[in-house]
Amino acid sequence: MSRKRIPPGQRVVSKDRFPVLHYWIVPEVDLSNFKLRITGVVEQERSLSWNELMMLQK
Amino acid sequence: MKLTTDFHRVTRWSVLNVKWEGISFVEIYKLAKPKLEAKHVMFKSYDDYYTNVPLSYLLRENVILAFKLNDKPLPPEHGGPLRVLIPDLYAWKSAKWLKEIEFMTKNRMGYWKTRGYHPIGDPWKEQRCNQP
Repeated sequence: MSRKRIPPGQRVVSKDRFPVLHYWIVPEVDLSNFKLRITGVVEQERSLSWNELMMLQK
Repeated sequence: MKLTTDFHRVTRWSVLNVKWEGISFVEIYKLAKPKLEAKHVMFKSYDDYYTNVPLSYLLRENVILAFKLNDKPLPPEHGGPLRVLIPDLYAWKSAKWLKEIEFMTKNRMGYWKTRGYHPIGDPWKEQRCNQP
């Protein structure tokens, strides 16, 4: 790599100490009700179910 | 798509070699067919968090919507079932509990930007806060 791996001012922590930071509560999202909406300046707005989303895997 | 990345947080810690699996943002882009004037994206979360990212940072091969972490379904505390992962930016740009992707013509302030964080957040440029 042409540049250093760790950006300036960062320190490395081990994976088992992977800190979890939230500013709020953790939402419970049920996969059977899951929707991913795609909106804004697009050809057509969409709402994808979990299964439809998984079909986009390459 | 599988990806092993380092993760850099604005709170000055980094985690190396994290294994992720997810859907390439490029696939979402192709499906969405954004209009030419789309230049920014707002990611919105189930917890009402939202964060904005220039499209130019998203059309890179290491940007995914992640649903697995270290070969297991992404746990809720790490943003499961689905989170954005943008290894080139500080982690606060990688929205957890993703529910909506809005393509925008202009930039709009995200949750942290309205609270003084940098609008882009590139760790290599130490874009932590919005300094004059």
